[in-house]
Amino acid sequence: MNHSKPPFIAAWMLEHWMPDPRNDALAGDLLEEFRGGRLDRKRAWYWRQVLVAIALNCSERILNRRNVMLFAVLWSMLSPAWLVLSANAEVNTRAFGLMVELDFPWSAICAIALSLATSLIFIWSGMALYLVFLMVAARSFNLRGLARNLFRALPMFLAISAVPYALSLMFPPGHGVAIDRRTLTPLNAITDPRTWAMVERFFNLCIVLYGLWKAPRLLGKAPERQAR
Amino acid sequence: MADRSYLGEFELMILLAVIRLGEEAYGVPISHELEAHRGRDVSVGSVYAALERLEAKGLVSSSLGDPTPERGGKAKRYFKVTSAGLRQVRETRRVLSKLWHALPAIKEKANEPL
Repeated sequence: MNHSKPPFIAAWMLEHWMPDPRNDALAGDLLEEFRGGRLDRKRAWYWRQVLVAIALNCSERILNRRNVMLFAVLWSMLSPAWLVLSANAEVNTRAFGLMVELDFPWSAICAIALSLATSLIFIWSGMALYLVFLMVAARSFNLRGLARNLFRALPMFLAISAVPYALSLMFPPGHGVAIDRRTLTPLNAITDPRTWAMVERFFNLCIVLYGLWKAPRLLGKAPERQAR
Repeated sequence: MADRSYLGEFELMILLAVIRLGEEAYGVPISHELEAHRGRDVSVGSVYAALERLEAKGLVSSSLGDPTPERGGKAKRYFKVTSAGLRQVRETRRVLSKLWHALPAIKEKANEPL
């Protein structure tokens, strides 16, 4: 084992998981100390330093984005209400009636497309609300930045949306708690404890968080500390 | 007028270490300096995190040195206390000194029978 080289995985983590301005100087300092310092357990010391640095960096990033995180949690809590509203709307629209009458596979394709569209409307509405609020607060309207943020969430949305379909294939209906949405009002849907574990809430949380994580930068703002 | 946003304990220690080290103030010596005076380990990552907070507040400034082979070709990042940083250190010392000087009076009062 070559003791003049730090642990490969730790060095890789430091290089890839730390922001650029801090990364280089810190990596150099740790290497200097690792090679020249009077350390008893060099490899353990190096690992500890890297893990502490990464943990600190993660906690800083989360703290810097606490507003985004709070908004994403609150918005995703509204998911069950949106599902009730959209289910009611579907039942009452003529287009839905026509879709049901279609032959397979068109009926299935239309049902999936409708389900995706309603989920996407919910996610984009939340993101747009947050972004417009950011722009109003900054008194700077950037429609291209807004559109860029919304479309940034699209690939993640499509990838995550495949998961419920995969889950429904793996665990056919009959598992979990059955909820008849027709009996719920939007408010009941939010407060009903049976909906708290709804997987859609978690998916929506992930997509909104992902979409808004770099929102200030994409809007051309730099409110965060690293953007000096 | 002095800035009223007081320094945290760790930030103050780092500013004092940077002042003491002068031209040689970069990550490793700063963490050694803190370890020597605190008597326990200080991670270099936490030193950088605090230094970046201080830099964002305008209390320290940084500049890059030359890359060296023993550091894997990475440059040292030297830190220097700005005039605002010095003012902040003096202000913190003034407030802490006043508080310390006020302690005996508090002790005497605390020992008085109710």
